[in-house]
Amino acid sequence: MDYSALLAAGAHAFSLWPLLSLLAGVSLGLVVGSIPGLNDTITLAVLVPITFALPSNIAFPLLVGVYCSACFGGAFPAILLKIPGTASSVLTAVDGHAMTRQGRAGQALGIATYSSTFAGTLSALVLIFFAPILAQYALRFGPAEYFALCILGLSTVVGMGAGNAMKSALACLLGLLVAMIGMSPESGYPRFTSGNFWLYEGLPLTPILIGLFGLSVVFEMLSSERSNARDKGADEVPVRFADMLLPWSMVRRLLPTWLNASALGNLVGVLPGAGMLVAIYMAYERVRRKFGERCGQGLPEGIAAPEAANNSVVASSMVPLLSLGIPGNSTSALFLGALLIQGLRPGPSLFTDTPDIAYLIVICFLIANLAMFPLGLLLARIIPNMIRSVPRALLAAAIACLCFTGAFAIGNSVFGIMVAVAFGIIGFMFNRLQVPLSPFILALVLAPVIERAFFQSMSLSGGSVAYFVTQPLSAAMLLFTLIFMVWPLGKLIIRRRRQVPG
Amino acid sequence: MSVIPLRIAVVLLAGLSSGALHAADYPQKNIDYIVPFAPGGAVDFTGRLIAEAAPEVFDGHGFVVKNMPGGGAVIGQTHVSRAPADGYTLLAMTSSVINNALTKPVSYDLDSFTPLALFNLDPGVIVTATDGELEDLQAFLDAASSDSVSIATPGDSTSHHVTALALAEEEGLNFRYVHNTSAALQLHQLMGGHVQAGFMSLGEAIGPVEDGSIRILALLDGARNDLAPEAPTYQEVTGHEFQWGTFRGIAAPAGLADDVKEELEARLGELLTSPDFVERMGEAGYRVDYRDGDAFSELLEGTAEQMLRVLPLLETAS
Repeated sequence: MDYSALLAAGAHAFSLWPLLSLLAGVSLGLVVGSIPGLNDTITLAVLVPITFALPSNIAFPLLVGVYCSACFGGAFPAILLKIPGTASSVLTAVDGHAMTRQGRAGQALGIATYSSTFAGTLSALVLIFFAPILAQYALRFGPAEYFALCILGLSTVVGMGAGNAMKSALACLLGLLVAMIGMSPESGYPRFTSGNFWLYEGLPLTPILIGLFGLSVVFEMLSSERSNARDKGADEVPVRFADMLLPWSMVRRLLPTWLNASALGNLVGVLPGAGMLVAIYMAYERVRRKFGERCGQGLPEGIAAPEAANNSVVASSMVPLLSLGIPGNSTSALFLGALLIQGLRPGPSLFTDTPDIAYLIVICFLIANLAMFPLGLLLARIIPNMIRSVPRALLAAAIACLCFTGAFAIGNSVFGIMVAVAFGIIGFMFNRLQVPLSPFILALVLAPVIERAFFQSMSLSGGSVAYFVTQPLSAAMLLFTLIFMVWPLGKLIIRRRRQVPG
Repeated sequence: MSVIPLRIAVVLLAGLSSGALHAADYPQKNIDYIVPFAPGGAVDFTGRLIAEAAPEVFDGHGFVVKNMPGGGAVIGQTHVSRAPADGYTLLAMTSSVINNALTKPVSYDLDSFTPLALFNLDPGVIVTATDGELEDLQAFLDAASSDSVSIATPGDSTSHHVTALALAEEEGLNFRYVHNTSAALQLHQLMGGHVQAGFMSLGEAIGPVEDGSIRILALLDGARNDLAPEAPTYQEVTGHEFQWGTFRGIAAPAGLADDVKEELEARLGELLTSPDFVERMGEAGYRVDYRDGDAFSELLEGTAEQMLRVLPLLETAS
């Protein structure tokens, strides 16, 4: 750790142009994050080529700002409209929107802002001081460990049905089934594609999310006067600034949740390809275990856990890129492009060869997370009132337009729109039948990783399933999975036993 | 009555004149540069470098990089093969055009494209972790013939998977394949010691090699490369010739008018050999090996023949 370079970079970050571009990036990230259908990956894909012409001390603050704040921006529509702006706020929508319906939108937005800032800042510090250590830990994750981790993640759906295990199991299985579409990772054999090339790499995730969460809400808005009336009552309550500032008692109450979620976010976030969703679901599961039935009814911890987890993942996903030169997700792959084009090569040598830029980047993560706080509160003050002032029909039309644009932009194709519409209808039906969407999403995201990791392990072990238990890390995770699965069942049996004599 | 024929005449005239003046007129507008992969990879990245340099050579008109990922590059390739051959839609052409045409039921083949320029040749390498137990290429070959060696690939049926299959066939080696979805995950497995070796391109390997996290066992090229001068070629060590690599070029749909083709080839040639472009590519670790349309066609034909020989292996493997 080169402290003088770190301090110099800190001072540099506070000079006029880097700071301005960082703030511009954070503001832009908040806006695109809060628009359903737009996300950090699309924004960075557009921005990276523009930054070619910029000096690196302006380009990177801008990119870092967008990356940091986009997933926090996703919380706004999640809380206010039950439409996650980005995939990372899928779970925020559950308790967040419940709070809005109870007229506590201001408090919900406040919790999201505090949680994101706290966890984001913490993980930026982790990135600055512990990146090399975390990178070495990430390398220990091989196929068996990925398999076990994803099974562990999948086990969190057991309790996710808000009391209806059958429906959440159904949603989970449907997700696994949809994930089967596409070429087998092992043999390249196309499954359920009926010769359609669009299906070769599976159904694209972003249009699915846009459909399930965005368009389904549009259909809901248009289909039912009843739901119209139901939402109106809540919308009458204006969001005041005072609501968003949390009292000290609330901060103290949420602190353990933040720390838990940050720890999970940092550990899972550094694994290349593991994805943000696993961390978020695991963090939410811990809250659910603690609060049981109250989860999903507008519980503050239900917002704090996913928002803290997703913002931790943002900075920690940069660990493998900066320390090993391996991009952990599609967004950091774009960062890799931006670094290369500026003549920088990510990896261990980045901090020794070009310390000025390397430290500037990590410092920017810290400042961007801090800047998110005032900018987020400002946006939280503006957006709800803006949404309230728009007539319902126009709002639905506007959301539909954004959804279509976003679904098209993913692959520059109408196919994305078709997928979004199809899943909009599916999502609408899920909501009507009160089948939870979150197990479906989790299964859909994890299935390909599980399948690939399984085949990889089989290839390495020569077809022996014992491989998963002979690797200590993977064995430990599978044991936890077993406990998580059996525990609710055991509790149920014990309760029944007690009830019988009484 | 007289208005309509007049209109038709005007339209016809306009059509005729634009046809006649095509060469002088080209380029009239921005050109779509289709990258059939998601943003962030080598093809996308080099495409954006080309787009950056384009306005200077194309009279102020730009290249608009459009990512059309999906179907193992089939979506983007199909799009270009069906696009009008007017010189305003170009494809970032890689060997996957050949693989896809041979292994998937696609609507195009090599003849659906007009190769315009090749700008980068990337030889294949066999790599292992720096602290891996395989000392050198000989140790690798011994281990693979007496027992078996686990090999990380960036995906099933990718050019690197095919390379490994071909080598295994030629030398009677046993590989256990661990397929990934990207070169990044492949590197992760190598560096973490989860697999014994991997096949990738020199361009992808050179960064981690310089960092000291992986080392090159053999270069699958005719001669050593300045990017990694210590890495021996396969032939040096074994005496057997074995060369395989990937390439990056530019193509238009088939049926391009001759004058537009000439114009495009000349301008692309100028762009791809300009010192600025070569320097920018060099900074990012890519060497520019420019070849014109005909030479590129020849290379494509040769690669297709090579692929045809290996194709049965791929089918039995899966």
